Amino acid sequence: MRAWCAAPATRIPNGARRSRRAAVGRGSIQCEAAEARGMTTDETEAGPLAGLTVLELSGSPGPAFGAALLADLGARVIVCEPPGGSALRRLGPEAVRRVWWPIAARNKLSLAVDATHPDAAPVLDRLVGVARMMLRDDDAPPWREAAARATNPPQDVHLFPTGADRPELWPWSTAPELAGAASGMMALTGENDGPPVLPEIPLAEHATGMLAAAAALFEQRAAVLEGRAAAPLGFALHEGLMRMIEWQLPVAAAQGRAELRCGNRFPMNANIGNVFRTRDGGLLTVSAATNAVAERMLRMIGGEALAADPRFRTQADRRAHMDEIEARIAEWMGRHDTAEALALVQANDVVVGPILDAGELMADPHVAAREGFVEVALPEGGSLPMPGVMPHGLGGAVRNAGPAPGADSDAVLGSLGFEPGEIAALRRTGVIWA
Amino acid sequence: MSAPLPLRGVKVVELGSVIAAPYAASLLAEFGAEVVKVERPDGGDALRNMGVRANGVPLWWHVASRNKRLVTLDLKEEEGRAAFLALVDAADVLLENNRPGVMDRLGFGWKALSARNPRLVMASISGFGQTGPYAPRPGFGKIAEAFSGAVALTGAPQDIPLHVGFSLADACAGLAAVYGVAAALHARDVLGTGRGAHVDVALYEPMLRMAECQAALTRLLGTAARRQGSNDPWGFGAPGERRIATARCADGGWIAAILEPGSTLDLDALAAAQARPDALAALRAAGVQAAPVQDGMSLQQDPYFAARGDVIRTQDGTAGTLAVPGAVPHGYDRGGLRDFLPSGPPAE
Repeated sequence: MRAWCAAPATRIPNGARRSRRAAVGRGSIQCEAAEARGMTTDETEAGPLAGLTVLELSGSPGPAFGAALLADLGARVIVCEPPGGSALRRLGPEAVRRVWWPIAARNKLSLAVDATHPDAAPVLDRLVGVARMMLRDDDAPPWREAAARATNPPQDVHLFPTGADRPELWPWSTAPELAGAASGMMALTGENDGPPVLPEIPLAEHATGMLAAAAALFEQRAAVLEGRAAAPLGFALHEGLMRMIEWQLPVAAAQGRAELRCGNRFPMNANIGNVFRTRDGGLLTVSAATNAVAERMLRMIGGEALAADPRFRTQADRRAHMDEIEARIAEWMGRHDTAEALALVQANDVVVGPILDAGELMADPHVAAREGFVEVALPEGGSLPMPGVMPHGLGGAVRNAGPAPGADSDAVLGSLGFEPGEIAALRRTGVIWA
Repeated sequence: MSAPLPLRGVKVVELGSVIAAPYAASLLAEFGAEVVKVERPDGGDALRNMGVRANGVPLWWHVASRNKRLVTLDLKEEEGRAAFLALVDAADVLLENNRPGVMDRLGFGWKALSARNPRLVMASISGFGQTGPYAPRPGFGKIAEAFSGAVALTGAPQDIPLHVGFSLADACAGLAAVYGVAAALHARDVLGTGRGAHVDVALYEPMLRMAECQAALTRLLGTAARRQGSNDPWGFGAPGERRIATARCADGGWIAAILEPGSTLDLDALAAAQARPDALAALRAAGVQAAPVQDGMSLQQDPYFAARGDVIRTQDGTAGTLAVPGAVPHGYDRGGLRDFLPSGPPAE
């Protein structure tokens, strides 16, 4: 049985759980597309989201990441690409453009459809008829009109840039890239006397994408169990990260000032934590977030005398004397090479770790044992390493890299019941552009 | 829209401590699940003692524990074990972030619990996951951040790389566990398998997944992808590309702006000459994309975040009047939920 190939039932049974048997054996465009790419499948690749069809109506990283997480676990994600292709294909400099689409659109199907074309309605109507969810980053008027016409429309999940929903309250830029600045994360990152810093990862967009994927699944489940339509969900792009920083608002309210970035120390200087350089120039992160680990850390670098030093006994004591503690750790690190230091911290059950870059990560045996990266063939030949399926324990697989524009147009339209002649006509008129 | 919460009736047991599993449980509670948090008798979750206090009230703990019911059980005593098993037998979800092996030694490993309650979804969060050569190692968030590749991608190229300044790995792992729980419940109840699953999250893995291009770029460039300052998303700041610049305004507020290639704008001078609202207005007039860098205080002063419900005001009998994060997504009827774990008598 190839469960992940299953297309969804076209309507959700009222109040009933859809059986696995019922979900399997309907149209299987993903199988056809996969087989067309020379792939084989088996049930271990099914994933828990087999049978869930998702429309991705987005040219930006947030919804694309959320949809990719769903696709990794077996959902059938159809990227509906406007003429010219998804804007996500054109983000960043040349090197990034070569790798981002294959990764961001992995496991997805590409349908090249001009939703604004006057003759597009039949295609859109059938798509919203089979899809259970649409992820969008803008108003997407033709799609929302099609959903409004449908008897059983897909759930509407909207991820929009900070401020785009309330321009009267937000006269500033709504560039998605600035969502991290709106979350509080950026103000907390950097040296205490330096500028705020963003990581070179679309962190805000990806965090909100992951939250949206989880929230949408919860809502889908409740809707099926209760025999009702799934409620629409909206997210501003800063909201995933902002919800993560649980303490920033009450702490600022209580202190009358914001807690701000403090280099690599813990926020609020809560316990021993920083980055130190070893004798051979390596960089190690120290994290002693609890009393027990802090005590073991002090014992390792200064023996019982240091562990028992009254200045460093409690968390509050350590916070008050952090400069001195860090000087002792820096001195200890400066006397040990990286490998030696790591062996000692392991022997002493102290929590210290290396700062790895991607090259080191790809060479790491633990990352390899957990399939942290998988090698995925590209449609044009060659292959790229990309992160494996996360989280573990649910099945799923990386089946294919991001497809060429319209690579799955025929298969998708065929599964919707369009005959070859009709598909050819849709191409002639430009509704389907690739 | 004011929809009913989707996890109404879903029972969650949290056997967690700082920070990932408690965070995951608090998100599930905000989707309507009934969360029972099980604590050890020797002082409970270390989060009770972390961070800043207001009138003696630990603020982080009271946000992280809102909407949970708290029980203390000694899992090494027969009575405590029986009570824990009774909770798990009736539960849909168990969240835990003990070091791998601890649950097995207690007799509460996945196999044992799943045999008792086949519908159980168990999510285990640990430093390095349940499998692989480093599985037994202790892991805290900072170690995971350093291990994930994300720290190497943060900061100015000439400086020591930076950790993002909050518990990023823990929070991302908690969120990933929530996503895993969502997928597992979907399989159980929508696909109709009727069976739970064991979700296994290593603290570093969500960030490795989120930094999705790092390995491919490293392969392509022949050298490890490196930090280049503030360059979100990938590739900003490369030669001939847009870049994100920051500047401090005359009133001390920071702004972030996207500067086009070849821009001759002196952002530092423009910002230093005026207060933040004026600097942002000047940039908008000049057609430059710019926004304030919000912090914990400005977020509660800016009406946008209050209007969205991201910032809500709450009153605690002991801690006083506070701002706390609202639950996301908005639009659900959360009338029965608490904004803050009450710490004392009701406020006047």
